Amino acid sequence: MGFRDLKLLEIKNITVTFETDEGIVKAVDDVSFHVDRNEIVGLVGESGCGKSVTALSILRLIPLPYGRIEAGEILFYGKNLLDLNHKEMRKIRGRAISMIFQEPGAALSPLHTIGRQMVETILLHKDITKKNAWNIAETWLEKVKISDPGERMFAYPYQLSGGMQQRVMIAMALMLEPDLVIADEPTTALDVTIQAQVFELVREMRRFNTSMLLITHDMGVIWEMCDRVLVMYASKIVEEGNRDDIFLKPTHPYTIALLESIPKLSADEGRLKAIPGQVPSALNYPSGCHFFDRCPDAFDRCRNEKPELIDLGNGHRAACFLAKNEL
Amino acid sequence: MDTEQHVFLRKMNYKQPKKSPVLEAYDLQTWFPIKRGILARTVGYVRAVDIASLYINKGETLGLVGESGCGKTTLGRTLLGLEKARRGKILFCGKNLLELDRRELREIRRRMQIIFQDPLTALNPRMNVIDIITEGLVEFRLIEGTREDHAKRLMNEVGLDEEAIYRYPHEFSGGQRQRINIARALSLRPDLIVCDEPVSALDVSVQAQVINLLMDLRDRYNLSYLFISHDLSVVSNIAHRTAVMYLGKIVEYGPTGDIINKPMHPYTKALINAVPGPDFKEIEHKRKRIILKGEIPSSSAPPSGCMFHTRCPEVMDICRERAPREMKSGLHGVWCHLYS
Repeated sequence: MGFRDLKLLEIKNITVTFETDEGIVKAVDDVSFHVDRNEIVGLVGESGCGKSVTALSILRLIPLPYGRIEAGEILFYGKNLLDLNHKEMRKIRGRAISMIFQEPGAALSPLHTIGRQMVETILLHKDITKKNAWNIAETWLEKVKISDPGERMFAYPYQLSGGMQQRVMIAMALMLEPDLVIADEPTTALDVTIQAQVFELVREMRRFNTSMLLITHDMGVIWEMCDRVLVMYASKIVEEGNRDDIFLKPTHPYTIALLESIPKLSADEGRLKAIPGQVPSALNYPSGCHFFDRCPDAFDRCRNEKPELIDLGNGHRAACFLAKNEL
Repeated sequence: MDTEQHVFLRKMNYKQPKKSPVLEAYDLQTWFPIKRGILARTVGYVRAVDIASLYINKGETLGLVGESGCGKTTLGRTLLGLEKARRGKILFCGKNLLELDRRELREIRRRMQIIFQDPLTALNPRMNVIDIITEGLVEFRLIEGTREDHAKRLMNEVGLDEEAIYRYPHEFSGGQRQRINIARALSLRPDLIVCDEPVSALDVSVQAQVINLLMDLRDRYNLSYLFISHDLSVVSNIAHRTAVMYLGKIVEYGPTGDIINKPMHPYTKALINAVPGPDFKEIEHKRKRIILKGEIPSSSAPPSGCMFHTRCPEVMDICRERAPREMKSGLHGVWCHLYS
């Protein structure tokens, strides 16, 4: 098998647990998925469903000593990242896999100028002169459409607006031309008109052949950005498929309910279809299907048996006993 | 509750002309001074709200949308008297709030309540639910019977378990906490509730529950809401009329249907366009992608002429020089030179 045949990122049966005062919590429960080259995959779910932990575990950034990757493999070009030592892992982070965080203001150092932070990152990974690194950083600020990049290099993060800070983060994530970018709620802290600008920017950035794993709670963001979607609920992936399949033929009752409960922009006022109840605590998930308590279609089998992902064709899979392959 | 009937009644109610405004505000201005130096000299002003007028009828919901920093929260707080207006007039059931003395204001304040964005910080962590939701009743000496009865009734009203009245805020989930906030706002039987981003901190599946609850309560008690949100989709679901705010000014207002389907101001168009997601095929101006350049300017040094001219895709020469006047047709009004 050649290098080209290897999957960019393949996650196999990963389980992440956290030790808390009340007991051991499974934040991610037997999750598998992959990201192909030049593909934007969306991971969508509500807060506490484990989507951010999944993302952090790829870069092995799970906070120690409470968090642990219990089982599974994270294959990056076929190499298991969990087998690497600290030094090898540092070479991956930022260089081969980079990350964009939700709060750009918190992710940038307030004590250093934008330029210094960018140059430091470049010099960590590339054996070039400081001057060259400075030039690379400046061109990337220009690529993410920051006006006066030469001057902005000397600016401190607080001197930039939220939208600009996020552009800097995007530039930092892309400037070493990584194979994979993990973006954790990259536009959640931004206003809608600025969010639209960032979407446009990311669409343009696709020509650099970067793949992306985009984590969000917002189905609208998924629709705008992603090729493929993973829907996560209570530590498990409940449905995955192409964007259009998920939006037009949602199969898992949770996906259906989630899509229906989103307020739509419309002139007609009216009640929304809410999902009853609330997300169960990770300390006591239902013993069968995690969505059992809130599911309108639940029946006896769902109470005690965990549904596996069922293949519906065309890469569309749903973890529900009611899902049937109609092809 | 018979929902269909309520939707019908709501629409009927709405079609009636401006009959009894609960709240009217004219030319409100709320500026915050910028102080510098050891003498704290005022060197300028942040013009958070710069000439805004609105009214809300009985039983009606007015949506107020805009990006962060546009002054929508300050406008809401000014209407309640939580910020001091520099200029303007606020009429609550016909009385000018800016001229009342403290005793009269106290009585009026009972009739206007507020629900905040972050349900946890809005609740005192050291008070249990019964104390939180009956505090106002005790203060205004409105308790008949026991406090428990009042608290239980309020808990039922907002869909919480009445046995939970001795629990503390941290024992509840986000959606339940927001229900406690709603119960507290409801306890004094207000006429007007200012809802300041009431669902922004909640998960989507819970968001819908809270929006539905707010709509039910509005219809049951004929409440009026000022519903402040940055999310146009949420507003479009609950508001009868919508006002769009930019840099301290209202730039467009009208029945929500008109704002969504026939927006006039370029900023409103851009806002609608920027709402992400599918299902917008029926909304024509969603087809073409409009992306605004730049960011919202500072409200301490607003642009000359029309505030929006620095980002407007349809900017003309006159926009840079003169501020537009209000153009009105029926209930729909807009401030834009394109229509003058």
